[in-house]
Amino acid sequence: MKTLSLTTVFRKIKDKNMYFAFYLVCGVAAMAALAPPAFAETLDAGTWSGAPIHLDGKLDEDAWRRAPVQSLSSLKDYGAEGVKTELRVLHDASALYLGVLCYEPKMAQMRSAVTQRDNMICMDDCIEIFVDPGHSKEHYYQMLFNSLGTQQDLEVLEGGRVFSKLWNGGWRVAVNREGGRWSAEAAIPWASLGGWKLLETRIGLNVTRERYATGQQQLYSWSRLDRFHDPARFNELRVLALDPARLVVGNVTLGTDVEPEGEKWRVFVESTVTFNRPPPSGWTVHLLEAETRRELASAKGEGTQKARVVLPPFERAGLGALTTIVEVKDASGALMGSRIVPVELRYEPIRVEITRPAYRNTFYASEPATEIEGVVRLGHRLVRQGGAGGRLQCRLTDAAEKVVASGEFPVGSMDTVFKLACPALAEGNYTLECRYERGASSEAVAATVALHRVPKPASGNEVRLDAEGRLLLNGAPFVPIGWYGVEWIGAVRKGFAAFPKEVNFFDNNRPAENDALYAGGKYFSLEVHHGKFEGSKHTEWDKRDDLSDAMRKNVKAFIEQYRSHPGLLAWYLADEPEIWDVRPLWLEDFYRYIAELDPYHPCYVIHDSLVGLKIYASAADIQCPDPYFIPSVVGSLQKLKSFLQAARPKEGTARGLWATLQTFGYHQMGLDILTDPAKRCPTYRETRAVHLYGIMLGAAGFADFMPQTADSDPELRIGMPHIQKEIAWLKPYITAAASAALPCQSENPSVEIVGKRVDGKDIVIAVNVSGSPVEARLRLGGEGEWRVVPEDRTVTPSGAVITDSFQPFDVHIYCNDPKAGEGLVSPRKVDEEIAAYRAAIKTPEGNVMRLDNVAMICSSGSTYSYGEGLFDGITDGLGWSPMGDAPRWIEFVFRKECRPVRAIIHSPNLGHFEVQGWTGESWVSIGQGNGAFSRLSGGALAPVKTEVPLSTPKPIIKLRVLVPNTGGEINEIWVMEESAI
Amino acid sequence: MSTRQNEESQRGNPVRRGCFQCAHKTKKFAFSLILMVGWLSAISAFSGQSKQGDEGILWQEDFTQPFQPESVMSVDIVVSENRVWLADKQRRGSSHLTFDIPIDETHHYLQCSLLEVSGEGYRCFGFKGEGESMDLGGGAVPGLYTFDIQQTYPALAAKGKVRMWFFVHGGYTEETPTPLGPSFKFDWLRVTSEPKEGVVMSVVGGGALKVGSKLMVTVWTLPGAKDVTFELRDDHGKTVLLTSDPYIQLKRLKPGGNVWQGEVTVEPGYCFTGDPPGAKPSHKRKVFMLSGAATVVGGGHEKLFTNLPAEVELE
Repeated sequence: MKTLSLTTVFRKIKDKNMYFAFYLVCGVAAMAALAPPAFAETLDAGTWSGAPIHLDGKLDEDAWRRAPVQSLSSLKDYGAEGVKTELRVLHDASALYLGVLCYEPKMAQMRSAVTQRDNMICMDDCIEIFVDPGHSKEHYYQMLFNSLGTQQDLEVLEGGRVFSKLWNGGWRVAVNREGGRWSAEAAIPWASLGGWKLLETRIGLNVTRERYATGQQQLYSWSRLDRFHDPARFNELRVLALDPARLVVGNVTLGTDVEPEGEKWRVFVESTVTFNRPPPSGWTVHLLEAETRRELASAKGEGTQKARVVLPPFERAGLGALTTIVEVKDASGALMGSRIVPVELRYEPIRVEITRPAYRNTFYASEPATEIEGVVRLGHRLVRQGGAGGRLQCRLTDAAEKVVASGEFPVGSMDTVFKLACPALAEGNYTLECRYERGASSEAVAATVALHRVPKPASGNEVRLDAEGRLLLNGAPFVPIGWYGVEWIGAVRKGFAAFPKEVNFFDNNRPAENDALYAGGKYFSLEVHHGKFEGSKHTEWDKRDDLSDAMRKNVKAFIEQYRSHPGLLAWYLADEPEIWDVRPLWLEDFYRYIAELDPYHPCYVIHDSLVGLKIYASAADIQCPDPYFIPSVVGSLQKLKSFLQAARPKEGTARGLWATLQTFGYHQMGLDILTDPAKRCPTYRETRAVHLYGIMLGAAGFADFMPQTADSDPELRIGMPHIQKEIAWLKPYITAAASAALPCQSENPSVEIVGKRVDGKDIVIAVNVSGSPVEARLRLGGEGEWRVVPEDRTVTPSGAVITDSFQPFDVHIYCNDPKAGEGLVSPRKVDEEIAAYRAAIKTPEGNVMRLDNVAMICSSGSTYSYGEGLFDGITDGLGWSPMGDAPRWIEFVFRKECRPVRAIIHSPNLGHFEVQGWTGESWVSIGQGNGAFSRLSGGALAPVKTEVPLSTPKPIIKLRVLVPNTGGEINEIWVMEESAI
Repeated sequence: MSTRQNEESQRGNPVRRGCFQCAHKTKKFAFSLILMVGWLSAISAFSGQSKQGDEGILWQEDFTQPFQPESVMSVDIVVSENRVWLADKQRRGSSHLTFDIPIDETHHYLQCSLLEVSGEGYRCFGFKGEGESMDLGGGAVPGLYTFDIQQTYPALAAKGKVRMWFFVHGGYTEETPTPLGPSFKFDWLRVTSEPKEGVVMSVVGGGALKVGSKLMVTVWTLPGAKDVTFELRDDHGKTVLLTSDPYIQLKRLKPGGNVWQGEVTVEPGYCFTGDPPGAKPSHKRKVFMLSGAATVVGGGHEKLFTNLPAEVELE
């Protein structure tokens, strides 16, 4: 039986990345340690001469017999249950070879269930290999296999904190089971690994074993470490036969094209190879079919940084997915790099990509429709036949097939850029045909693209993205600043109009609130949530690659019902689809269908994993990662950076980037802050840091996750409006084009800096991304005085450099406009405001309902660990809102017995309630009352004070307020003893 | 001789003070150790540094002598005024020390008194028996913790000793130089028979916690206690509901006695997935580290904590 250690759970919560939980189980779950602490050893890997190693898992070659035997040590003392594991390491110029011999007296009890690649091998008896090329201690590869030889592999970044299962290495393994042992031979080609930054013959290596044959997990490791994912403690291996200078290949991508060839298909492949260092001349590219390792094509390459190599065509019987291995070799045939690259073979003799209109091939009313721009890419056959000698004819026709515009363009290469001028297009649907011909006798090929000119929507708004992914609302830049969800903060009590004007956006999961939101001056998105929206009972997203008819019908009905609402800003397509196992193609079909039904509102998806950002990249207009973390708890802002960088769209693709950041504490979601203070809310300063750093990293909108209970936290309740004001002030910076970037620099690696010239003034944001205070020398890019917004101070460069102090995760905004940021409040003053609020928390004498006198709070259905707002002496704080089935109650356990005589409750809507006391034996009724109901103009509710006399013949230990049927919330409750009367 | 040693010796129940290096190697050595510890304890008592212990203590580490764990892995140790501050130096996810403790059929409760936690960030301490895949338990806030070693590690308990791994987690950081993690201030660690003060829980009859099974909670309180309630949580800190009541009300076994008990039968309709609140369904697991907190009104510690790694089948 496998269990998770506390530590694993601890890290799991920390990362809030449940999708990768199993990776943690693989390695980090093994948080126990070797007995004596030790540091990594340096060893020489053996070499051999003679027959090559035949991978059959038997370790019967001479080379293995002569290789030094290393032992894996148990991470704990397993006593008589422990087993031996031997490791032999060999290498040559091309690969690392590992021979592992696992003694196993309980072969029949071994777990060996996983048979599909990249599944959870760590749940089986298995071997894990960790290779850190160049011994970077940050970037390494994890390869696992079980006793069936099933493989799993991962690329690991940031020292073990970011995993990518998208990496597939070209390593091979063979396993043999006989007698009381199982053994394996693994070959890891050097060239299949990236990360060769050093020109030294040293790598980091560890080999571990997980054993379950005893029914309990046993862990063994070659390196002396206390957790598997600790690259700093991997053993250092000298691999003298390796020539790392040869491993110069960085990235490899493939472009493919096919054409019919009789009954088969002729496949054209163009590879793009990026080099870390200049390769020697005479290098070649070899394309292999991964499954058979059969060479499909090869060609010589030229170039030293980034080179395109056209491979000779080859034949395939069919189209579809093909997994290839791309090998780059030097003139002697030695591998310089090898990558597994999956491709999709599709027949497209000519391909057209439209760049104007930039977004969804649609001209909107707020943009001119007088020119169409695009790129035409010819298939390889046409290029081979002399594409450059041909001509490209573009013809735009309307719905009646009348030609609206046409033009002819010379074809200069595979990619032909065209600009087709046209009269101002009327509303309607158009077809752009791009036809390529070369000479009268040549076969013509053509591709068509649907284009649209849509009118201003009859009702509702025109919301779209521009070429740089900026949101345009009726043609004007719009930066959404708001919340994920509407149930919170008493949208009921306050009304949406009560929110600061800077809050302009809500993710709305309750369409019934549409009108209230709009009346309150707020825009909203509506959740379609991969088909789980209101009324839909279909759960097909993990079973199909396209929408069912029933789903289409439901989606259509939903979209048509709400798409014309004037408050609608976007469709919230899916929440963390990777966790729901939503198929990427299904989500893409879902997205395209909604885009077809409603051209006026973009779609966005929230992701909580890097993998999700990649595999669903084509399934939305806007990516909105939600990397939740508390900076000073994890000691870094790196998680935010990793996510936003991964989500950043390519230039010119009209895709947007927003962020959903943590503005809550996990204790407010039912977790117990009493037993883990780290489940707190982020502070105002931390929240400010992640938002402003997010802007620096490209986030152009925020849909923060702030559940209703977070409003009781003064750091967020007081701090968020100030942060939102700063974001609103930065709107010109956020919406400025990439070309507005300033050449500013930080001389301190802990301080990151990005500047833009906006409306004639320079704005520079500098963030201390570390958890330590630093002094940083910054080049802001200009002379003269800079105002530090909104800190009420200025800095003046000396020799173009300023020196400024940063507290941990501090953010300074510099602007060379002396009046910049007027109206914004300095963070120091916000701190004081929060401190003043805390100081204002008061309670009248005789009130036993005080933080220092309440040992526990719970309510029907759950404990209640965020109750401080209930008796802070401030009636506008959020209190208790009963949830679940009636009867509902909230209960307080006092630290001392008491005999209260009066309860004072502030509530806007409490109906009939009963107060009960626990005498040590039973609950007794000690009072009853009826709360008032108060609705202000505009629909907001205001708390009303209700006093109830209590009769306590015996001292009570606990007090319960019971709301039998009517519900209602409590903002504030005091329970007074007689002395106070 | 200290008061405690004197009392224990008179009952024929010697206290073994944790030397962390050599418990239970030989009877002769143990006897020598007892004598030595007794002598050292006496010195402590005369110097006014002794702490009052429970009856039935088999072993205790009260930090009155140089603190010498069996091994130390990246733990910063500061002993001051008969208390120890432990903190994670490495900040890479895990740090620990190990020590050996004796255990027998009578004395199988490991207790620790956590006085204070200082510092920012993720934090928790935990115990784990060497060679075991399950944790014994742990926590992150001050209070008195009680763990039933025999219940969690029946095989180890039968061996008469356990090498215990004592984890101190301070959260990951990549800062250079690495700052010290949050510090935990412990007053003492003990192996006892029935504690004088503490809480434990068990599934009656063993097996999985499922509909119809009973969870038994036992709390020992100091004089003055007037009420005891018990909350059950999962390893995320989320309340585990077994009935409509979010807590278990305990009652005294005997009028005026110091032992309180409560038993609850798991009712149908209470789902438990083990996933954190708001999370989507993750891969299934069966064994969870349940944690329990008893709230005591009047007398002794207000919060008593315990853990129980248990199979849970509530869906």
